Amino acid sequence: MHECEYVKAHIDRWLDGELEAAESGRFESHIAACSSCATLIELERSISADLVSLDGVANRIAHEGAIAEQAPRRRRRAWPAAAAIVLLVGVGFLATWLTNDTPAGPDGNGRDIVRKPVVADPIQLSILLPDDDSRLSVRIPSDDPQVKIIWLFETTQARSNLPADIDVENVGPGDAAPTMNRS
Amino acid sequence: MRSGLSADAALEDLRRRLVRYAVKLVWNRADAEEIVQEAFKIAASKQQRVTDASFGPWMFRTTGNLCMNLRRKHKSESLSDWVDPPHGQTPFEAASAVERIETLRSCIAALPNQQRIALTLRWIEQFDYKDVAIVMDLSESAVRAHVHQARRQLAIAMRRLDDA
Ligand SMILES: [Zn+2]
Repeated sequence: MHECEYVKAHIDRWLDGELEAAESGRFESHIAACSSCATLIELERSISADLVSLDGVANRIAHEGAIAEQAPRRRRRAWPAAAAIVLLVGVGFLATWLTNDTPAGPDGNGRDIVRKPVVADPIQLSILLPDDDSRLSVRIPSDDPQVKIIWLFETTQARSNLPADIDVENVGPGDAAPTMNRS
Repeated sequence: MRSGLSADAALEDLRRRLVRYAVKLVWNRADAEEIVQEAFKIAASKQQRVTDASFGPWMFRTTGNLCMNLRRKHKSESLSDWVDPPHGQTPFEAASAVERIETLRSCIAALPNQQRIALTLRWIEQFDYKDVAIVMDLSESAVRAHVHQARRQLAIAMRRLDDA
């Protein structure tokens, strides 16, 4: 019972990854042995994960709401497999460095493009495909002061059109957003 | 603020971060935008200097306070429209994922204000305790206590959901 109390008393610091090696050794060896503490920890872990999902949902509301207001569309609850495939196969990136004063707006194909200034921290850009609201997020970490804005649009052009120092990571449907790294 | 950013771009970046934060408290973009605009107005009227290091935290604090006092004009978004696409989940699993985060959201909304803000900043916004303390103008230990209380409430609600 003593060890169960120890676990309860140290949960927050354990969740924060703040326990010293000896403390986390004691903590984890008890979880391995005690099913009721293991259940407790499982619950706490799932709450942390759910809070991260909540963050993603909120960011989506903050981000896409603007476009939804301009042209209300029925949202889908999930990416249908077909749409995801279109994204993965049919969408290449053409990235162009532009300056801050270039206006945002739809590209030549009538697709809304969300753009944001590129800053030192990773930021997210989205492309909304008009017919099914599928969304592709791209994170671009850069601290290059020359880099202001990156436009991304759907294009059949191959990835070889990307500037050489950009590397696009492919992901499967439903995975985390693809990542673009400036190396 | 950040190197390589013009003042305008830095402010716009801050504004967007504040809107995202406000959405996490009011769950509606229109209200969140309005609140952040109001926070900037208050900042101007109090002659807060945007170049001060304290400006960002002050804006987060003001935005949080305005969210707590919101007289709602718009409904909260229904999360089922916005939840991540399920990855290899059955419809039942997907529905229960939505139910979980809806439960969390309403449990957070019912928390006392300080707990709600501390939890949102620490675990949804993923700030360090140190930064949460600066935003909330509290000691780090006070923040930890609020977060601890909040998480215990969430655990109770989620266990009830799991047992149901
Ligand atoms: Zn135990």
